[in-house]
This record gives sequence, structure tokens and C-alpha cells, in this order.
Amino acid sequence: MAHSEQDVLRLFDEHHLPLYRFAWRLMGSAADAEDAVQEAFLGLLRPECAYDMERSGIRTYLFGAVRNQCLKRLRRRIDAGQTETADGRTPESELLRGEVADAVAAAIAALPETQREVLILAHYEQLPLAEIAEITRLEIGAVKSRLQRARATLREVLAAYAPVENTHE
Amino acid sequence: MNDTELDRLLDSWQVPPPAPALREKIRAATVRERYAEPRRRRTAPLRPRLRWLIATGVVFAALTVAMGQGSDSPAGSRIVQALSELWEHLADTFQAHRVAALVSQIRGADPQVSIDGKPGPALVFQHSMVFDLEVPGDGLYSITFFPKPLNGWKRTGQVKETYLEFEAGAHHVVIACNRRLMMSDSPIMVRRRGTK
Repeated sequence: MAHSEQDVLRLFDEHHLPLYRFAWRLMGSAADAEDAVQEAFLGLLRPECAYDMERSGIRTYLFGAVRNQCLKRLRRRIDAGQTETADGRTPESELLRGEVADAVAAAIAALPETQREVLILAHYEQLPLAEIAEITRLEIGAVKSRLQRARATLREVLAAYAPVENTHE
Repeated sequence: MNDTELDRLLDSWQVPPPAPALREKIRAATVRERYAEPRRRRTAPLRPRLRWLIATGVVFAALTVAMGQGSDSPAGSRIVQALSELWEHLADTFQAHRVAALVSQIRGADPQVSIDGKPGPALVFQHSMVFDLEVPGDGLYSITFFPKPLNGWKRTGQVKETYLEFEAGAHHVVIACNRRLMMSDSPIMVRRRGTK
């Protein structure tokens, strides 16, 4: 179902921030994230747009469209032999910086793609598991297990950054 | 580390906000979509390897020259003409590769648009050899660099070392890039797509 330009801009105003955050966290590049979000919204204008309001909500559809765009770009990076994020950082170099946020970013970037997207949608965007299952086209059980594995890996990788008890007093 | 501690750690990773121009980019792209011709079913792009193109071109050029030297007969003349057309086609394909490379380079060079000396909207890149510019209050223009005269396209400027300078209707447009562009001095071909 194709939308009008006004519809697209209204939907953009309502939904673009979480979609952009999701794309940015998946790809680590502002330019790629913007492109992915733009393509997802433009898709709504096209006659071949597959959005069916009776099957899913618009937010779910848009997250799915952004996800597809991101995966397409990530595949291209792999085909081009790029293992770094678009701004030239690697997980290893990030860890060496020693900053907590960078270490978290690097640890998440090092997760398998299938766990990474589920973690981002669940933790950062606070989406319900059923919606994540719809976006990623998985069973809810698979979403749960991926999320658990991702968190277990992160707990292990980020153990050095765990808060320590204050023993001075 | 318990769940709460892990959540706190994860929350330290924040995302910078998107560029304020993103909404404008999408608005401009929606205008471009409005004027877009019906999308055709995508076919695999015709991209033979460049070295094969060059090798084939060299062979045909040699054949053309050889046939031209012995083209006294009408049959010889027809063959020369056919080979010339084929050669021209190969040259066009080669040129298309170069134009696509230039468009891609501009896209990655943070192009900043200025219309009549004032900042303009973002460019819209949808096709490999063409990009679009919406001139506020005037209409949508497509821009390419293919040098052959094409129906509906006008040559209105040329590529400079790090910027493009051309006319879109009655407006003077400069697109500044952050790096030196290939195909400097290439013609800029402009076509009006519609009014807003």
C-alpha cells in the first residue's frame, strides 16, 4: 500500500529516532544509518510497498524495513572484505581505548549479527519479544535464546567493567 | 555481574542524534519519488569487466582500420559501418562506467549545494548515473555527466576540480565537494523533471 508524502513525513517525525538508533547501532555509521532510514521511508511511497496494516503495525514494518537495509549494507561490507565499522574502528581498537561506552560498543559489534539485532531491539529499543520475533522473522523462543546468549557473552566480555564494591570505608 | 549491572553498562553506549538535515533529505527524496518514472523490474546491471571492454574495443578498432583500408566493395563498406557502430556502442558503455563512478564519488564527497549563493537542499541519489536536485520554488532537476547529446538534456556547466557549477533553469548552482573529482572538465547535463 503506497502512502502520500505527507504520511511519510508524519511517520518520519513519529518513528525516525528509534529507527535511526537501531540502524546506527547495527552498522556503526551515521551515513549508513541515515541511508537505511531514508530508504525504509521512501519504500512506503512506492507502489510495490509491502506494508499491510492488517498484518502488522507500522512500527514493526519500519523496523523490518530498516533491518533489511542494514543487513544489505552489512553484506556488502563483508563482500568488500571490510571487517571494520564504517568509521574505521575495530572491536579490538575500541577495547584498547578502555572507555566503558566504547568497550560496550565493541562487545556488541563483536556479537553474531543474529544476536546483535535482537539485543539492540530488546535492550535499547525496549520492544516486546513478540514484535522482535515479527521484525526478525523468528519464533519467540529463538528470540529469547538469542537474547540470553547475547547477554551471557556480554556479561563475560565486559566483566572487567563491572562496578566494584567500594571498600574504602 | 548481575542483570541490573549489565543493563547499566549497556546503557552507557549512547547514539549521537541524526543530522538535522535528514528530514529535509527525505522530504526532497519524496518529491523525487513523485516525479520518478514507474519503476521497472530490476535486471542485473550490464557491467562487463572493464578490461574485457577495452580488449574488445581494441580488437574492433583494429578490425575497423583494417577493413577501412580494403573497403572498396559495398560489402566491405557495410562491414566497416557495422563495426563503427559497435565501436561507438562500446565507447558509450565505457563512458557510462565513468559517469557512474563520478556520481558515486560526488555522493561520497559530502556535496554541499548552493543555489544563487544560498544553501540549497540535499542532493538525491537514486540511480547510478543521475542524481536529482530540487530547486525551491522552481522544480526538480536531474543531473548527469554523459557527454553525448541526449533528448531533453542541456549542457549547462562543467565539472571543476572540487566542485560542479551549472545552471538549473534560471538558477546558478554550485555543488562543492570535499575532495578532488575525477573527470574534471566533464560537461554537466541538466534536465528539468517537473514543477513543485
